[in-house]
Amino acid sequence: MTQNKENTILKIEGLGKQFAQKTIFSQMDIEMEHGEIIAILGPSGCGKSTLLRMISGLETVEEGSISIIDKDENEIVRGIDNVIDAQLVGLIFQKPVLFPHLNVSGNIMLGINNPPAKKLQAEVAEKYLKDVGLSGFSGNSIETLSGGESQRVCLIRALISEPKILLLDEPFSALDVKARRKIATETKQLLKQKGISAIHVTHDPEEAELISDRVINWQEITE
Amino acid sequence: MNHFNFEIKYYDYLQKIIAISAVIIFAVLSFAPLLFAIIRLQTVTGVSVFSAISTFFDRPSNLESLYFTLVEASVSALATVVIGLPIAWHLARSEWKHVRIVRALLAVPFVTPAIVAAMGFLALISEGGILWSIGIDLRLETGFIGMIAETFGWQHPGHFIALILAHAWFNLSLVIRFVEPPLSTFDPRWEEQLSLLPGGNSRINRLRNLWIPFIGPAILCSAVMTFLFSFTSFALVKWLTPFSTTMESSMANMGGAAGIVGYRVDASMVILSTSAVQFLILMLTLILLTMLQRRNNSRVSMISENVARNNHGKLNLIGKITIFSGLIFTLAPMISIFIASFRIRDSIGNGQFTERYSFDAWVAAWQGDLSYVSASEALSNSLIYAVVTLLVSLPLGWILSSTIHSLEKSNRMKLAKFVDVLSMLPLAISAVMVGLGILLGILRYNSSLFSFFLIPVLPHIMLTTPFVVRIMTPAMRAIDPAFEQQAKLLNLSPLRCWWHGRLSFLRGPAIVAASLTLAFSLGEFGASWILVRTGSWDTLSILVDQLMSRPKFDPMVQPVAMATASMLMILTFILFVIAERFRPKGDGGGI
Repeated sequence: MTQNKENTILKIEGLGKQFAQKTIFSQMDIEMEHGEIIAILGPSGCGKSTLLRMISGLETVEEGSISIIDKDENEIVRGIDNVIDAQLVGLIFQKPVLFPHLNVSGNIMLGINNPPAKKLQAEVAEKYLKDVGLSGFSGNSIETLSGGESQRVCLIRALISEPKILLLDEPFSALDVKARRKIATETKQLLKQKGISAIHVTHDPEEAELISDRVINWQEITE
Repeated sequence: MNHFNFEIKYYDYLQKIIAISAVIIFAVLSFAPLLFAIIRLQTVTGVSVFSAISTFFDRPSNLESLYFTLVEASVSALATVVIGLPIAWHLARSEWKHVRIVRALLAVPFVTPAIVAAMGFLALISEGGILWSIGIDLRLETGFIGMIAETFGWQHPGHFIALILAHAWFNLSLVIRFVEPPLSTFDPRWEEQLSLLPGGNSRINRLRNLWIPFIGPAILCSAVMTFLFSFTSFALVKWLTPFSTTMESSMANMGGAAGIVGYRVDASMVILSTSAVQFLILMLTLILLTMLQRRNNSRVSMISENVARNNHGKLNLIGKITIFSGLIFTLAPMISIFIASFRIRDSIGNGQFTERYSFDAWVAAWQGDLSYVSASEALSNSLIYAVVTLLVSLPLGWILSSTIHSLEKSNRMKLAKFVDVLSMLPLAISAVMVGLGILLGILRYNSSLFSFFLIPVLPHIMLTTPFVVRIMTPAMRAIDPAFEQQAKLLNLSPLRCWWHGRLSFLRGPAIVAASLTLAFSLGEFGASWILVRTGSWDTLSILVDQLMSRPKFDPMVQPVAMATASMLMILTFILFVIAERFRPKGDGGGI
């Protein structure tokens, strides 16, 4: 780990990925600054989700490099054995991933480093849920939530641990246009309020414009 | 049109009459002998069943058998989970070509007759057996096993270890059957998502927040079920731990002297009190199991097994070693029986032996040189009993399942639950208890029935019908009602509606149920051991026990017993293969 000297939080250089000898993408370059929200616009199946998984550390990096600046201003380089750290990178999947054996409050508590005692959990969860317009939902079973509500719970859970970078893998794609716009706007506000950098991948240009500071076309950053 | 309506109404009435009759017949068959047996024992002892429970604790030998039963069943459950869990994990978490065959092979022990398993482990631990050859002497307890006995003052550790291993072998497929489905359908994104959250940033956190809630109930279910089967195990205890008695074996040993007015009242007292205490323990265990199963059923993911497997990747080296070791553990006792059936150890004096391999034991077994009945006669007895059992159990179980399903469909859930629980209750009564129930509840009242050839079929029906219900009810629930509705809309007759809308979907599960019923009946030991009093009725499993009980001066005794056990093993294996052939994909094997 070396000290970083610039305002850059994420630097991707010459990145490539192959699955079963098939090239998904190659020679990708991206640079992102602290607090910036980037939207990457690309068609389905081009490798957007794979890119986010590589940044988060869930996939290995064998070609090119990804370096992320952590909260202590150290440079973390992604490779084969990746450190997965909730305070470094958070990820929201396309389909909401909420644990069915826990209620809303239980799911939120997974985002907290030292969760409070059981009896205080609902109260603490309510405090966070207010930020995403879900007051009174802490005791609900996750089966009772709509798609949009589920993604809001995922969003607030990811934001609680205050990651340096939040990755959003088309999390609103299953929602109708109106709901998608609303939640995209609210997400941007929350990210800005907390000063969290984010990469949002989508195939919807309108959503990309709405949520981000900068829109990048997939073709522009890959070969 | 009127004629058609009349036909439907008539058909509905007929269905109801058949359903009610089946429930009554099953209840009478299953519980009347036990009720009569209790009445008989109460008359002989002059003590009510409730008072008998308190007297159970006054007799030291009862406490000893209770203690031993609880310890062996608990340790067996723990050992089975420890051995089975890594195998289930690797079976579930990787995609490979022969997973179905391996899973089926690992399920073979569960349908192997208990007496065959006992012979398999005896062959494994006896002189010349695989374990003995590698220096682990569990039978005579020499070497380091003897050292354990001396160091810890533990009597017969070798026999105890052999029993635990045999129970683990027998119940291994239960762990796989319970734990593999939640693991193999486990959504990989859950693990990934959790690793990206503080609640899953360490192995302990992931264990606490993900693995224990998800597979904990399945592990507990398999452990409780193993406890249940180990608690009531008879043939394995009889042959592998001859110096200790469980509650089941102490009842079996006293069964012959019980229920006779004015004779050996102590025997009747032991059976009355032991069966009452055992029934209570088994009922509590079953209630716990039902609660755990309900919890386990709510832990099923919405993702398909194939998707999950593909995401988990190929089998790694540790996985290959684990699966290979599991297969060796599964196959070793079966191969040992087979080898032991050909190996004849002739004494040359001074405790020295020469070994030769031949078909002599198979010929002697088939001709009956060492026994009252030959293996060929015992085989035909076993087959007759098994076929008669099948002819009653399958239709009875089918009708009970159909009744449960119809009640569920018409939203009479409480009644459906009642029939469901009723059909499962015989599982809380062990094979020995069932045998004793018939002996004391029917035969002691009417001794002429001792010479009724088909009397051993009765316990087989009681013990196999619950398994038929367990296989057929989920299969019926899984049928899409649209097929039957479509058939009705096409104005097909009720019989044709049933044929096209139901039977065509139930043929596979019915073949599975039939094969397993035949296999269980062929291998049934506990109840038959108590009831088969006429030598010419001996079944294969009884014959194996009788042959092995003979003094071993004749070098042919053990090989002939092993050859007979091999015949039974081959027969049940064929039935198991048929069952596997028709088992729906994704079903874990076993019951």
